[in-house]
Amino acid sequence: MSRFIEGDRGAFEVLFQRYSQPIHGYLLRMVGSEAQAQDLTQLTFLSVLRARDRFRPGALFRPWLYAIATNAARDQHRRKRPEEPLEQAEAESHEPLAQVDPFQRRAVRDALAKLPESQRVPIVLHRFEGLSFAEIAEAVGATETAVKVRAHRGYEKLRELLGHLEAQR
Amino acid sequence: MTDCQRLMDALGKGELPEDLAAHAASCPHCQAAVAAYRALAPPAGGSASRPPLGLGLTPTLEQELAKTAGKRARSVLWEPVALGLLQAAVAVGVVVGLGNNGRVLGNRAAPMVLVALGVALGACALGGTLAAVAPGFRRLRMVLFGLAAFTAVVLGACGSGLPALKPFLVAGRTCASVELACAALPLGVTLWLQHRFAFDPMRAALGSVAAAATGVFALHLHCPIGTADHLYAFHVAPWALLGGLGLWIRSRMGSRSYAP
Repeated sequence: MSRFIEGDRGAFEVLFQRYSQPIHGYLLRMVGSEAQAQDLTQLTFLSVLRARDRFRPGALFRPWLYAIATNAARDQHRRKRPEEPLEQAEAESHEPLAQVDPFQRRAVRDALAKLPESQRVPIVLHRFEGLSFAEIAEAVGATETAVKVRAHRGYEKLRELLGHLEAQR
Repeated sequence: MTDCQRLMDALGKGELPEDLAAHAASCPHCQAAVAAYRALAPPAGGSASRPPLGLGLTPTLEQELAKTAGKRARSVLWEPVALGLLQAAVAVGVVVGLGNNGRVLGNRAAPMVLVALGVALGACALGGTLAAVAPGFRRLRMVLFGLAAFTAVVLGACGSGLPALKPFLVAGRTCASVELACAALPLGVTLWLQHRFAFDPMRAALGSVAAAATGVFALHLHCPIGTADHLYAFHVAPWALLGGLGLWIRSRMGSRSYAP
């Protein structure tokens, strides 16, 4: 990122190659629509280009990028509801849950959707994107303790929501 | 750090250490969290491990990238500084321009009160602008928002008590008009600068409150009327209304960038 701030065009292309896939997957999980996830991925990187002068030197790039993606998804949600049926998004998805049986996949997705955003975002970033809680705290602008508490409560809630899956095993 | 927090840290880093596994066995909350974590996805899952979808740079991204090529990113702090100077110029211009029968200051409150509230309003206006249109400053935003609310309450309660010579509404209309006129330009610039950030209610509200504080500051120095009903109705209430109006407008504007 520091090379890109200095005006190195190639550095942005490297960032795009490295992070467009994870960001797309994250956004797909957040908005549930392949088309919207693709658009939001482009908007996320457009924001990186336009806001490069606001990136603090020495800060971590990944939390900043995920913060941008989260804001883009939040803005999308604030302005309009998803247009694409969830089932279609699931069918098109390339996410790891595709390895799980469809019933369980849908149950997990529905359970995640029932969580408040303040719990869903830390869980998705932690469980699926592999961010540490320090990085998540940076991305959502909260303290590390706060995001751990939110994630813990979210996982507990998910356990309740997914309890029937365990019973069926 | 509690065991529950340590356990959260350990999730996703292989097998739980013995002490945390023992904690999870005895703590129903952590037991549930661990079970949910494991139920969510296969351990190998993760967006980074997905096969490529063939995402590429769109023409818009290419165009935007071309604009940045070879150009070093500039500092962003000059914008809040310039806006702060604009606010100061507007406030001083209005106070000096309106005058008070040959005097600059019209407020007859005790000098300590005059200075303390002036400093608080100045901090709300200038500090609020900085925190609202520069990246970062999340905690400062909350502090300044609290300061603005406190100042608004104190402002009405600490007037000089001097009554208006004109009828209540006539005198008040002048003050409210001056406040709105002082706030218009700073508020417009603030909204324009803020549309380059992701929408954040606290940032948007503070930006509007800071812009509107320009007029409150000018009135604080200029207005000789010191009764609580006048101050609350025509100094504080328009300030709050402008803050709400700015937030409402910003919530309906798009964002040029979603950067925090």
